[in-house]
Amino acid sequence: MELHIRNVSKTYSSGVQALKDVTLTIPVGMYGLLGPNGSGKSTLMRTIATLQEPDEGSIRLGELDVLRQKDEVRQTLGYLPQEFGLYPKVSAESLLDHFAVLKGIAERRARKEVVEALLRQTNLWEVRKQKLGGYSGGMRQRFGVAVALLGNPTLMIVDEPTAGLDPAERVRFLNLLSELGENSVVLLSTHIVEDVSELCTRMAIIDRGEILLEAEPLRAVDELKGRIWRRVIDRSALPEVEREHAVISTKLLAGRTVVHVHADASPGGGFEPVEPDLEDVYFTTMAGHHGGRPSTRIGSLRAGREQPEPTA
Amino acid sequence: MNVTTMKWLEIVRFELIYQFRRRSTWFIFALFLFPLIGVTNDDLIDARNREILFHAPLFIAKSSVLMSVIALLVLAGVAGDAATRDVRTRMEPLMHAAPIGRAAYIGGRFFGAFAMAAILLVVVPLVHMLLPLFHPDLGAETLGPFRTAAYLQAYFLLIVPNAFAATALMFALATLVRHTLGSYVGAALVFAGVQFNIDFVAETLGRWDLAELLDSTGLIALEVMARTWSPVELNERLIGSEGALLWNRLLWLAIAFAVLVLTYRRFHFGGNADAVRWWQRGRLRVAGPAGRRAAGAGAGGFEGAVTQRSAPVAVPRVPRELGTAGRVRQTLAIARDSLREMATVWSWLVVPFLLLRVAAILGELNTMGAGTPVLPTTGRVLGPFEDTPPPIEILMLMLPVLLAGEVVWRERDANMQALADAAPVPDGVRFVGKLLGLWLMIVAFHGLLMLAGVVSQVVSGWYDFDFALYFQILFGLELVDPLVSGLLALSVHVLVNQKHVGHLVVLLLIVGLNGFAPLLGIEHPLLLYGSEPGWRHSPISGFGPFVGPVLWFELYWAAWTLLLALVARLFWVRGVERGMGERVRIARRRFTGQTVGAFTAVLGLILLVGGFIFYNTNILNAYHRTTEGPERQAEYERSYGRYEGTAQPELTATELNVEIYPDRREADVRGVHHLVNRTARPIDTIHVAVSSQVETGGIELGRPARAALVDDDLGHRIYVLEEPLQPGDSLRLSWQVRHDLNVQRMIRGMEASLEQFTERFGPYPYKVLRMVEYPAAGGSLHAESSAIWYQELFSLFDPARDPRRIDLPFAVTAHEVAHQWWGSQGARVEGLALLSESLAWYSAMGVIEQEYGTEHLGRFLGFMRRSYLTPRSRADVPLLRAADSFLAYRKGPFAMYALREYVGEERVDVALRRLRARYAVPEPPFATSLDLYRELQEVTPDSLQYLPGDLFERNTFWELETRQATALQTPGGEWQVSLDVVARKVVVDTVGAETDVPMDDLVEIGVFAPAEAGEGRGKPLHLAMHRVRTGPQTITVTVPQRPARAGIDPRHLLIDVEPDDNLVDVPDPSSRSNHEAPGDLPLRVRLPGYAVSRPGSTSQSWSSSLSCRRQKTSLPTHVTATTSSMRRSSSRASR
Repeated sequence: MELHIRNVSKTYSSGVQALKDVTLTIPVGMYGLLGPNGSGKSTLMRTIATLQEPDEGSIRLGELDVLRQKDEVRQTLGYLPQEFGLYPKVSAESLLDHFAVLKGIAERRARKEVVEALLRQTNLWEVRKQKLGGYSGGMRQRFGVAVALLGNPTLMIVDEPTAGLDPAERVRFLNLLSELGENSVVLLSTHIVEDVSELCTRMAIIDRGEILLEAEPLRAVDELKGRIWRRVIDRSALPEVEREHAVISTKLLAGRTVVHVHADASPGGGFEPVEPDLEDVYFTTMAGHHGGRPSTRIGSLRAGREQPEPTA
Repeated sequence: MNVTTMKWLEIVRFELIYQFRRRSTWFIFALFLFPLIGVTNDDLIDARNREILFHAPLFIAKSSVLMSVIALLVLAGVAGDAATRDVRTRMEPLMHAAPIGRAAYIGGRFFGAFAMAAILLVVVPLVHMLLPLFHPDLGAETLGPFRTAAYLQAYFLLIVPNAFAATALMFALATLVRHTLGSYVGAALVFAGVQFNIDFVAETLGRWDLAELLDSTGLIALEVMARTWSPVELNERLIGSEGALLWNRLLWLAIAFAVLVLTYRRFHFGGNADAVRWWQRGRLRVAGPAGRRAAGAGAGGFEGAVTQRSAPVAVPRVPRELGTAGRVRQTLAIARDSLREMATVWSWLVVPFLLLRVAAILGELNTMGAGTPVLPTTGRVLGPFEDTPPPIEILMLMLPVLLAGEVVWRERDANMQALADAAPVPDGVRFVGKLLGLWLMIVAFHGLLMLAGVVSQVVSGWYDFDFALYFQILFGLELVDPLVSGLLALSVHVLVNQKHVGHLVVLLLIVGLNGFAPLLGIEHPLLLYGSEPGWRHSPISGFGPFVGPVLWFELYWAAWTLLLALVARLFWVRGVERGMGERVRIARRRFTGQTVGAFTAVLGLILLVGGFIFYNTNILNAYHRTTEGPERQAEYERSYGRYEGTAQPELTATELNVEIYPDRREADVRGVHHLVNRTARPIDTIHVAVSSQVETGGIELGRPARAALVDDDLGHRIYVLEEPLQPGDSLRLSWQVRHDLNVQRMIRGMEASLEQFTERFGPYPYKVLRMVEYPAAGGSLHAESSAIWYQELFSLFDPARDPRRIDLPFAVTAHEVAHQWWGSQGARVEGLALLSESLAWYSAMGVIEQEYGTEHLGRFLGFMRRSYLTPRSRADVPLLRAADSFLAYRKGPFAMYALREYVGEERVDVALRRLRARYAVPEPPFATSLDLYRELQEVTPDSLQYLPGDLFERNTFWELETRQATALQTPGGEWQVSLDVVARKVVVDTVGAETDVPMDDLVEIGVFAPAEAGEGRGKPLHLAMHRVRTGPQTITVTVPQRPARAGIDPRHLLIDVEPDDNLVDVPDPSSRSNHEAPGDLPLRVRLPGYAVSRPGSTSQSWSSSLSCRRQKTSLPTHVTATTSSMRRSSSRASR
């Protein structure tokens, strides 16, 4: 079973074009959708999760038309939204039970079994009687995971799932996802490059609604071999370096600035070759050296890795 | 400008701009314009019809206050949003982390909301000013002179302070409960406050002065002005000249500030997410160690598992059921979830609501019988449902609307919609599930209403619960409407997709449009949403014919609502469908063949049911628009007015043969009129008025005649359904009631009255006297020749529990029996009421005195005197021209009683006997009040001739006051009492001009011994007439023992609107202290024209429900548009 996204476009009434002619094919396994905030990731995820309609294009999940056969899609769907709330005055156990009924688990004993298993799996069993209003961000996120896993979904869509998790929780959660990916289509959107590099067999980079790159992470890294160069400079020298070289990212290291540039041959002048990683693939793509974007945005991308959005 | 002020201003500015940019603000504002223009337009028509100037300051003020109360529905949204937006949008941490003080934050937000309100409400005086421009036909005689001051005062004295106080209250409640619902509760409190102050503080306690202060809107202060001002003042005087209103404004500004300060002190930055509610404390403490362990585990997250790694994802594979059974389970789960949410949000209201409802029922049971408690039968306890009074009506209306909003927005309010909407639940299942939850909540609410009824009965010691009736009404007839309203509210909320606007649209649909539509001439019940013919339940006749029509109408409106629900289902919002365009596109996709089928079926149902109703209202029965009445009247006058004064024969006798078919609600009347020509000339044309309400068959004139004109359409009714007298000369009483307690009282009242009146005024003029109870909820009585009719409530009066210790059923019976002597003599001119009602009450006083003694009569007169407590202008017609109920039922009897006490009962009775003798034959000319007056003057001694004049001919007020009374013991052991009294006599004309009249009148002076236990007032030591002049003077009397109280006119024989200052305590000379009399109120706000009661005393204004009408009898049959009407009848007149 594969998920086929064909020529999907979406423009909001405010005039913002969230998706531009997006075409992707997503096989069984973990698929990473990488892009900065506001790139259109969530719009794409919501559209696949049947919560939004594109202006144009089609989406198919195996035999199902996602845009028409919404109810059928929902029966196989697990969706973890980027941000969500929970009824504050209801206990975790009781709300998960409610969702279990909504997902069609009608029989009481089966429901009890599933709810218990999921609460244990997400380590919420001890606090199952507590009201959800008192849950921390991480606990809420795990509860969302439990809801998404109800009903053994064959299409799992997780939108920025690691944003609220601490490092240990994140590892555990990603493990869980990768196991699920053995039999299901798992689409993971993130702006954290490590999430993708550690897990995904395939990935796409999206920015401003456009797919800039669709690739296997390892192969993409391979392709950059010998083209990424590094130099440590003073901050004051940065404008000059940017003028002369195709800078893809800058980072601070012990008070000095580390510059990565993309060049097919050594740019000289103190630059040394580095072993590229997925982050270099991401920044190279964003800077337009990969995937066909005109190289006009180099300067503006210097900020490097961004922080997660504050939950609004 | 310091930094704090700058920040404060910035918050105000941002708030204002934010609110102004919100589309919903403007939408809601536009919705507010509907009632505003409607009410103002009504005012304009009112001004024209009642001859009040439209630009009169008081008129502008009342209309402004009314609108500022209606505007609360709009302002609640603004204030609630300002108070809770940061909570809702989760922007709280950002705002609270900013370097803004609490005062600037709260103050800024509040002033932003208040400024918004003040700016929006400018439209109220504006519409009032501009609307006359659209009615060029109205001239200066309707509008009056335009005065800027009147509008400025209305805006700055009423609208702005009201907006300030209400916004403060709503803002505070919303801030404290961190939910916009808080501001709606605040708005409801303001509504309830007005109602409470009018109904309880003013009307029941008689404390109008207190009510004026306590009413947050100023409406009661204006009401007092309206009642006490003279006609000239009503049109010209500015409201700002009244002290009570200014005090009220200051008080409420102070309260508003106090509320804001309290909010400021209770408000914590960072919210109170961690705050433990008091009812959770115990639970948490018990949960202590285990809870901590649990919390630790929770915080640890996946970590524990990480170290052990990796138990595979083991979600058990369980069967899923997504067929019909699964759908049903889903529906029930959603219903349960909605119900749970509502129950948790509203459960705290259960006990307060129950208490309020029980208090309201008990209050009503105790006041509906003019102060005599009424037996709490189930029918009475549920009485309010027949025609729901405002507070409960508003609640019942708001409940489904507010709950529907909460239900529709449940997931989105919790920001959980993405999780919920991705679940495999069809839209229809979710819709029905929510509807079911809402319905269950409404059913539960009705259960609560039933519980309140039962509790009220138990509290009153009544255990005869009629559960069948409870179920029939609360879970039958009265349940359908709220359920349909719930579906309507749910559908509108789905369609409108904006919570606050949704609430307003629903209210507008249910209330507003129906109030507005008649202005546009739309009034057919099939076109006014939710209209139904209404029902009544009577222990005698049960539900009668009402159930069928009510259910047909309810089915009709349910069908319309279902249609709306089908549309709403198409537009059901799922996921993030934002724009209207997208919603329409999705709706079009959802519009399948199945949907078409459903639409067709529902439309068919509407046509079928609507057609059946129309067949009943318009074809089986005649349908008349309200405007048709005046139109037809005008047409009648144009066509036949010229025959007025044409010589006609006189009707001397009538024989009627009436066949009543109750099951068919038909009556067949055949009759013969005997006409005699008593004029000097021959008459060759006979005019017969027929009624357009009935079918009139052939009319035969007993001699050959030709019909020159037959216009049954414009005819008018001449039937008088008086039954001919039964043969037999014994007194026969027939009864249809179950409470023998009151039957005995009434029989005793009839017997005592018959006996005394026969002695005083002559023999009983008929052979039979019947008292008949008929099925109607009210407590009013009618007296007809030889028959007295009364409604069911009257039989439920329970005087044994009356705290005032008076026997109202006995007294009212005596009054009705007295009508057998007083009623048929009077001509239909001004002053008729004096001849019938006043004389009937005067006569009844004698029976009460004879049966129960002078003390009981005194208490009864005290009860009747309570209506003086209602604010009332002193400008009035004299009693000889009495027409309104106050003059007829109160002032008239008191004048007769005063005359009796001055000239003696026998002399007054002589005058009354002479009057009866002169008008014994019921033929013209009939008596007028002038004839009574002449007879009364005749029996009054020369020394008192001024008195009948002051009582009847002029509108005279005595202002009598005792300033001080002192007592000294004489050597002989007696006590010499000196009273410093002040007296004044004024005559007030009909426009309020007062003229001082020199006074040299006989006034009673009383000195009383200390009251014994159980006595209201001590034994009189001295009670005699003294001559009293205008101005201050000292009167000295000697009494045998130590006096306690003394004063002028202690029995209130003369008309004095401040009766409380007549008596004072006589200080004990041995103690030398001059303490305040306990019976007097040291702090008292005086208002012109009416008196203030003592605290603790209960009073009743004599409501019209007990007024006894003599003139007209209406058939005790309810005629409704659909099913019941009298259709067949014929009449015959012969000469």
